[in-house]
Amino acid sequence: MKRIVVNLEEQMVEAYEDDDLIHQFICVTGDDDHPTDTGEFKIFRKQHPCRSKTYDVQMDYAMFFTKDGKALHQYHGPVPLSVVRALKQGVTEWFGSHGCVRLEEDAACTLYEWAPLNTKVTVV
Amino acid sequence: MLPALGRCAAAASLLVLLGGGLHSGTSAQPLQVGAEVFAVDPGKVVEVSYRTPTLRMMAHRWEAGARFTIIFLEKGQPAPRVCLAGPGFEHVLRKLASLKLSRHLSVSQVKAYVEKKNFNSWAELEVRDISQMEPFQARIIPVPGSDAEALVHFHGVTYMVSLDVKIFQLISGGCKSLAAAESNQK
Repeated sequence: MKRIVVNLEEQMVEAYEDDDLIHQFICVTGDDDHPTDTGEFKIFRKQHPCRSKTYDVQMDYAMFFTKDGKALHQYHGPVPLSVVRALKQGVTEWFGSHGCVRLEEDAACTLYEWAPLNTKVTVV
Repeated sequence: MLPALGRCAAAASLLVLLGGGLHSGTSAQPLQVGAEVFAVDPGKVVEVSYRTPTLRMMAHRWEAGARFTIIFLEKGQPAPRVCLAGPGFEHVLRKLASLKLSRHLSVSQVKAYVEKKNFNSWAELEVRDISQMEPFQARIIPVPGSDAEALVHFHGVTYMVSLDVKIFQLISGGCKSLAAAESNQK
């Protein structure tokens, strides 16, 4: 069974098939004011491309797992995600997201094609 | 950790330095054939709107697990038709809730398909789920000579997806057609 684990402390996303680690990606999750919900969820909607009119942001390869719209999706910012992640971890939480799990483009695309609807997402 | 003001200043400086185009992050990779360009758990859908120039269908339920009520408005018919959804509609919903890329198209191919088509055959689809997110909205264009594919256009991208055209016939038939489909599937 496929499952995804989001590790907030490490800012990593891991994809498992049964107990085998299939993919491992860096990520950026929510900041202190907009934390990514912890717990167990399921992907109930996927869409590519995707744009939030509410927040006026692009969020391609989106896989939604909470009712209020938190998703794993591609990061579209001008600064490399690895730099943003390092700044969030070492400088300030200001560099976090509004609760979504941001991924590099290759990672977002790979995960989108790998994970079907109803894949379990555990955020720890 | 630096003091808060210093951290922000350092971060801002770094952003300015790095913001000069090291990584645009906006060029999306093409999905593989068979990938879902849109998918939603049908059990979490609460509203489906399908609109053509001559017909409008709105299927609604207040909560997941409840039965859909379907309202049809047709050109030339002054009164709406209302019916309760059965297995026929559930079949339509399952198909619309999983749009899989069937093949890649070039820009010229998309243009050719669009130019061939009568605009009366275009449909607008909207699928709303139980979340607080905006609904999925797309334009659907049947493909001439194909009973298993359709063009789907949303957010500036046009895909060729696998879609049984019988579902369009079911929808176009209104309550009567869906009722027949329900009977056939029992």
